[in-house]
Amino acid sequence: MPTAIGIGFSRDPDGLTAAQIAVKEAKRQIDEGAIDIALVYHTAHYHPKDFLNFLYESVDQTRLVGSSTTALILPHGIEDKGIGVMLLRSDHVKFEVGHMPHLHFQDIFEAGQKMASESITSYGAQFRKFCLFFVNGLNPFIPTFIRGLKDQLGEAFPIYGLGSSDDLLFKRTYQLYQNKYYTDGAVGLIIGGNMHFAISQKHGWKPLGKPRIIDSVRDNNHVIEKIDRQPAQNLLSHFFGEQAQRINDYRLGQINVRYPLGVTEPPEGQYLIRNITNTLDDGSIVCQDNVDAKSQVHVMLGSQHTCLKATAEALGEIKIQLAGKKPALIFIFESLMRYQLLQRSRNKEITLIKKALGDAVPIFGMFCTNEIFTPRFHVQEQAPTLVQNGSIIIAVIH
Amino acid sequence: MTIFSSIENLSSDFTLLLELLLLVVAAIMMVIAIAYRQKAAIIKGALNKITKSFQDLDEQAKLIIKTDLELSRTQEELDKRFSGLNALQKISRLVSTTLIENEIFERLNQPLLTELGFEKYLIITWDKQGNPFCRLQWEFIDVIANQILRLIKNNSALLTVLQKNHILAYDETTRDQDRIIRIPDIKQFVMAPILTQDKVLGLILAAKNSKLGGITEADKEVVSILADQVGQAMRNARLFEEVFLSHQSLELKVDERTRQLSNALEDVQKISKMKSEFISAVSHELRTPLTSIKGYASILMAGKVGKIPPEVKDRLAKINKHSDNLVKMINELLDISRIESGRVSMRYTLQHIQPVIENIRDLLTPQIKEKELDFKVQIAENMPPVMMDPAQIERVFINLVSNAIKFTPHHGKITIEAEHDEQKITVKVSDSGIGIKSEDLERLFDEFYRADNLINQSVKGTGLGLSLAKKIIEAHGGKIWVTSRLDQGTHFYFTLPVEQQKDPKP
Repeated sequence: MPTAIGIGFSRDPDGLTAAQIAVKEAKRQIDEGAIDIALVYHTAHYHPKDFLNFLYESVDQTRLVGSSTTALILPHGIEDKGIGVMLLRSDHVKFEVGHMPHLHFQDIFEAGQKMASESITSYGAQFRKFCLFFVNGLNPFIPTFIRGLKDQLGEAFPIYGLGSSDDLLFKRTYQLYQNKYYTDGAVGLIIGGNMHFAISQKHGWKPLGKPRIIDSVRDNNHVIEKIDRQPAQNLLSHFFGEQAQRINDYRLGQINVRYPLGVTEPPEGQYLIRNITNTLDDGSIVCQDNVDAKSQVHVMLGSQHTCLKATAEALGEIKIQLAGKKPALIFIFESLMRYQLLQRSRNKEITLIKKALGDAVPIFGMFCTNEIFTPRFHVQEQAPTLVQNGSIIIAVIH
Repeated sequence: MTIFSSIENLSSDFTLLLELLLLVVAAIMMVIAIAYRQKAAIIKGALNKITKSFQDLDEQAKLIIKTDLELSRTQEELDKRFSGLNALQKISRLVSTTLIENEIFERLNQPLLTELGFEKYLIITWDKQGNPFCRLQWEFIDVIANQILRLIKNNSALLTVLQKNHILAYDETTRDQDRIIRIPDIKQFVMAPILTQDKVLGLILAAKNSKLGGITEADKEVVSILADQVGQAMRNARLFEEVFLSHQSLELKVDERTRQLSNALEDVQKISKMKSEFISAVSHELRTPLTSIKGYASILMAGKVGKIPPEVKDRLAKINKHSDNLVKMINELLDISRIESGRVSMRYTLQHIQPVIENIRDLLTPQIKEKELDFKVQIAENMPPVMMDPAQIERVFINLVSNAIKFTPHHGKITIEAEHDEQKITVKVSDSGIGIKSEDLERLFDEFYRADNLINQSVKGTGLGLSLAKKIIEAHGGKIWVTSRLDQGTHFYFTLPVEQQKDPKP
């Protein structure tokens, strides 16, 4: 039996009704048969308590994982409000799910280990292809969690993930697991079996000005204290003058969206994009994710054009990986920074993707706070899994 | 000695050699030092250049950022305006095509609103007691919406500002002390009044969930236009409502008046019927003694009860004559009464008007000749026959032509004309007589009404002739009317309907 994929969506204001409509449509597309896994994305307009039990029962208590998001990416375009349900049934693709609630009450490294072992134990001995997980995007310890995952899954095992997002208030995100939901948890799935995937990540930001050196960091490497022997905020004042003071007023606002920091790290000197989330009174800068001392740092510039160009580059890489094979399903995990930057061009990106990979291929994606990616060319070695901001991950199952 | 001398020589040579070597080293050192110095100067120069390049790079970056910020702001504003205007155009179509106030808000209650760049909306209007209430609530939960209603109700400063058509726009940068109204959990919003010419109908509150971007001029403009559109639609709906209510009230009044008139007509008809019955009864009762009076007068005049002196005979003749007048009057009254009550059944036959007119000419020729009147009859060709009771129509002609003879001086002119169209024949009886005052024309067909003129003062009449003529014509389904100018003559018209030819039944 070939793989069957159904995607349903509704923007009905009532959570339960929206879930009913979405799951009904998804089921219709897979001819109402058995379901191997359900993936659920919902915007912050809905609370999981209103619909999750219903959804779990509707999919016959099969594996269900999901996440809150700022907006969904669907074949017909971007949806700022709604519930999306993807149902998948396949004889040759194998899934298993794991979860880890309440990360802030746990040793985060051990939490990663536990979630990985839960998934692996349930998965059994079949060939594993990659791990995909959703984590509270506001948790500052994601790199440590990833280390825990890799400790169990293997250093070379490809791990992809995304930070759940909310309605841009950065207050509360949800991770869905079966009929439970968490606000600071992680849910993951191991995917394998007789399937292949192509994947690429790009960001499209360009460095500006001279390179500078990060002298010192603290708080799990999220806070940059000094750059070029000066308080880190001097970098912002240098480029943005008085406007730099307003970063705290507009989280992910004008400056943050358009000018993140680019930190040069291996591999191959590509830039890790770091969104600035806050500035502190001691002159330091708080980043969305970790940065290492002694790294080179730039202020980065992005535009709709460079964003779309990056998408086109990612699609180019995917087509090379596909080598002419027909895509069956497209996952897109895209940064909120790009969501803000692309504005009305968001749908152009969908058009670009459909043009490159096919009009009829199902797309199920979401916007996230952070994108976790393992470059493919390192899969056979020590593969660094990096937390990125401001990027797009396109994954294609074939 | 020689050994010593050799050693000394050797020593001297070594010293020399050493000195020479030192000199060479020193020279080399000097050369190296010079070269190093030169190289250091070059490196220093290069470093300076690199530093300068980095500084230039930073300056260029600053310039790029400044330009990019400006461009992106402009672009965002343009984007907002473009998408806002696009959505406003759709909204305008929606709200301007209804004249029902509630429907305006029902039509607005959809995701289209979010295309204006705001996620949450409240549209509030004031009820007749001056209390604000929500007409549209998009993405606001009830608790917050009610809280906002309370805040608005108790905020006179806000009302003053809205009255002046000022738009409030608050975002993260607005200081607390500058806010006229503080809305829980909402930092970024625009509030615009919905105005008529002289008062605030309500307000639109458009809010953003996120802290992104702030409120821009484009945001204010879009909400302001939306408020204008809603205001215009509300005004139209209210105007329509007013017109509709007024129309309804007018209809009610017309119905009431019609009912009153109908009742009055019924009353009049009842009274008229009673009058006819009364006249009929009285006339019958009068006619019997009148017949006796007239009979006894005839007996006396014939001398059947003895010879009577001429003076008595003369008086008896007058009794006889007045009795005849009275009988005539009573007969006419009886006819009117019968026609009104429908007790007279007309003997309709399909007949041409021409023979009736000829009869009249024959009948009245003596009187016409007596006054030497110019009497003419002009009948159009192909006059269709009409359904008529010829005896009754003859009475009409007698009335009209007798009147014409009566009010036309000697050598005057009387004309009877007849013409037709598809529906009717029209008969016109004209004279060149004294004419009728306009104030008399209206009541000319009333019973017992006699126009005020010298002839009427000298010649007795019942005042029932024209009334009877009118009843006869109306009983035929026709109309009768008169036009006249004083001293220029009078024209009486009447119509009789032409029987429409019907297809013979199969």
